[in-house]
Parts: sequence; structure tokens; C-alpha cells
Amino acid sequence: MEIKLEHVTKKIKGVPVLQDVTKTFTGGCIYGLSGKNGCGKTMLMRTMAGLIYPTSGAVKINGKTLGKDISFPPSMGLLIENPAFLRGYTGLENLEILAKVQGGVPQDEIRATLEQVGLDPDDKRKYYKYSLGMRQRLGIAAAIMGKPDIILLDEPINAIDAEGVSVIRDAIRALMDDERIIIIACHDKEEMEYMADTVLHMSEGRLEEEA
Amino acid sequence: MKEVITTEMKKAFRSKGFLVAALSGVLLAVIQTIWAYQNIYQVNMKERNHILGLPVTDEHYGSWFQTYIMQGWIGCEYYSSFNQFLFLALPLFAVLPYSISLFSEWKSGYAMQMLVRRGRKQYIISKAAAIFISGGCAAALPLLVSLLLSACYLPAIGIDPISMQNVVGNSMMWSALFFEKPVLYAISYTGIVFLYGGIYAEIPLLCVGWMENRFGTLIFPMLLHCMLFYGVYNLFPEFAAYNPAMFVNPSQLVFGITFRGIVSVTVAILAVEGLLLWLSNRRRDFL
Repeated sequence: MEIKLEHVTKKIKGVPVLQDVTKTFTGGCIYGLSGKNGCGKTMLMRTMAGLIYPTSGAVKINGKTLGKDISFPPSMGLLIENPAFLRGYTGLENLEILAKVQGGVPQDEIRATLEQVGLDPDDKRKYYKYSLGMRQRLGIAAAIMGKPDIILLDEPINAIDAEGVSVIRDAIRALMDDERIIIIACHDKEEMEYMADTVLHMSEGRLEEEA
Repeated sequence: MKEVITTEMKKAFRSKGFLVAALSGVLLAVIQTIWAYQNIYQVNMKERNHILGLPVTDEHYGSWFQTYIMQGWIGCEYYSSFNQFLFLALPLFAVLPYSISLFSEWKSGYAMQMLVRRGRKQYIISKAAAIFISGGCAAALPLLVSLLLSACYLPAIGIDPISMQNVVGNSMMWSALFFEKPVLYAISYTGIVFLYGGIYAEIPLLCVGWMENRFGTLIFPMLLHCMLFYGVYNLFPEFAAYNPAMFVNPSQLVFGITFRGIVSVTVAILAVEGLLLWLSNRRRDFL
């Protein structure tokens, strides 16, 4: 698995949010994206996910250009900004709907994924009754369900308590293999260094340095 | 594709909006039936009993006409204001179930989950299908319920044209059906209402990306309908037979409505909706 960014620039209403980003992400590594608020971490993730189109440059997934050859990476899980689910459904029902759309994620695996992030699959509460932390956990569960080849997590430990952070960290680590690319954006530098194998720094839309 | 469509259908028919639209429609049909029973059927029966009490030689003897199913059906019952209300509020019934869903899912970020799993095309097409069918059902439901309720106390026979109690004249569209097989007329016209319920329900879907306000998006089809009903009709009365706000009513409010005309206008509207749907979702950033 490979994600290749070639001179990616994105302007929104004339304002550059990504500037000439060139980088290759390869499988078998957890990448961390750090940087101040508004530096372009989320935009970079959206671009890699195929959710926004670069003004210039290209994003290639295994050699195929996003927006030309393919619309979205074929196997991807993502959590970008706040998780959003159907309010009138339970966590399990929400994941079942996504699993059905995704195609072929067995029920056992859905339940196991919920347990992996510290949620009870038999919890009958509807999503709108979930706390902020529970919503975040469900968002992570949706992103890692079915073990996709690319996982993009934007601020995954937001609103999660200390105990929960270690649960999430373990869940993410457990997914690591030679093929999978995991990219995590996090403002907590310490946590980032703990979770990621390679930390990349972003500033004013540029991918600046590699630590 | 099938999975996405069934998922969207389930979401549409399980939505609170559909429940509200369906209950409102059923309630309207029930109230209208009670009104029709009391003010049409019972009055007519009273008249019948009065006539039966007259001597056979009385000049009024025999001038009574049977009430029949179309006089109780909300689609053609024109003694009360229920018909006008239903057909004026038709876009509201249609948009309530699911029309706003893409707008909401786009705003909340849920659409992202669907897009990356199934792609833009499949997601939008499934959404459009679910919106169309749920909107159409919500619009057609009051007519079907009213037909069933009317059938409980009124005979499904054709009306005697001499009685002059028919809203559809004998030179109008499907008049043969109206006079001879009224239930088939009602069901066929409910099909047209279903189609236009679907068409109105699609309008908010086309507004995603152009309109920012949720309420505005929801109310827009209603405004468009009012514009057609009052504005366009008064400005261009010669085209009234091709005005959807006019021909969608089974009472056939204007002369000259033809099935061919309805098909032509419907095909044109569906083509425009399809084009707008494609344009509004072609290459839009998910910000």
C-alpha cells in the first residue's frame, strides 16, 4: 500500500490551505501529523481521502490518481473532526448500517470492534444519548471496522479519558501490519510520539520536517 | 448498489419525518371522511328518505341520485376545502420524510462515511431513489387512505352524468375511467400524485450546495408549488393544462389536461432534476 502526494496545493476561495505538499506514505508504518490548529492537517487528510480535490498536484493510491482513476481509496476508514452518526440508532446499529454499505463485515467482527474501543455492543442507548467520549470511540470503531488498508484518524483521542486513551492506543497498535497505512493527526505531541512511528510536522499548509 | 439503496430506503421509512407525514396524511383523510360522511352521505340519505316518503305522483319523486365513491374520495371531493388543502400542501407532505437527509448528512459529516465506502455516485443515486419513493408515498398515502375509507360506506360505481355531481367532465382526461371504473381512475391518478410527490421531494436534494439554510431548503418546493399554482397559472392561463400544480389534482382543475401532456412535462422535469443533481454533485469538495 502506498499513498503518494505530488506537489499537492489546495486553495479555498483563493486562500492556500495546502502548499506544494510532496510525500510518500508506505505501508507498515504509523504516521503522525502534528502542527498548530489551522495548519492544514485536516485538509491534508481530506485530500488523501478523496473528499476534496487538489487545486494542483495529484494524490496517488497505489499508482492510481484520486479524482481521475478512482474517486476514493478502495479500502479506507476515517475519522475526521467530529464523528457523525445517525442519531436515532444505537452504536451497534450504526456500525451495522455502515458495514452493510461497506459490504461483508461479519456481525462478530462489528461487535469485536466495538469492544476493542471500549464500547458495549449490547448498549441499547441511542447515539444521541452518547457522551462525547463514547461518540469519539464509536467514530474510531467505524474507522477501523473491517480492517481497511488505509486508516486516517484526525484527533482520535479528543474527549477520551486517560484510561480510554490507552484502550484506543492498543486498538490502533493492534491493527498495524506490513501493508496498512495509519495516519494520525494529533495536537498532543507527547501522545503523538507515543503512538506514531514517524512524526511529520505541518505549518501553514506545508509539510515541513520529519522528526 | 443494492445494499446502499436498501439501507437508504430503510432509513427513509424509519425516519421521524416519514412518520409525521404519514400520520398527518392519515389524519387528514380520516377527518375528511368524517366530514364527507356527515355532510354528503347522510344529507343525501336524508334526501332519499324524504323522496321515498313522497307519493309516486309527486313531481319531485325520483329526482334523487346515489352518492358514490368519488364524491367521498379526497381527490375529487370538492364540497369541502380538504382537497384544496391537500394539494396545496402536497410538497410539504413530500419533503417531510427524507428530502433534507443529504443536507443534514452533509452538514453533520455523516455523508463522509458513506462517500468513502460506496463513492459519490452510488450514494447520491441511492439517496435520490429513497427520497423519491418516500416522498411519493407520503404524498399518495392520504389519497389511498381516503379511497379505502370511502369504499367502506360508498359504492364503487360510476356516477350518472345527468346528476351533474361529477367534477370531471366527459371530455376530460380519463373521463371514461372516471364514469365507469372510478376506483381505477382514483388509483391511476394516485400514481400521478406519487410521481409528483417524488419530484417535489427531490428538490431539496438539488439545493444541497446552493442553499445554506435548512428551513429554506425544506420550504423551497412549497414556494415553487405556490408560484406555479398562483403566479404561473395567472400569468399564463393558456398553459394551465401543462402546469403540474394544476394537473396533479385528480379533480382536474383546468380544461385540456391530457395524458400525453402530463408525460411530456414529467419527462422534462425529471430530465432537469437529473441534470441539476449531476451538476450539484459533480466535483464538490467535502469541507
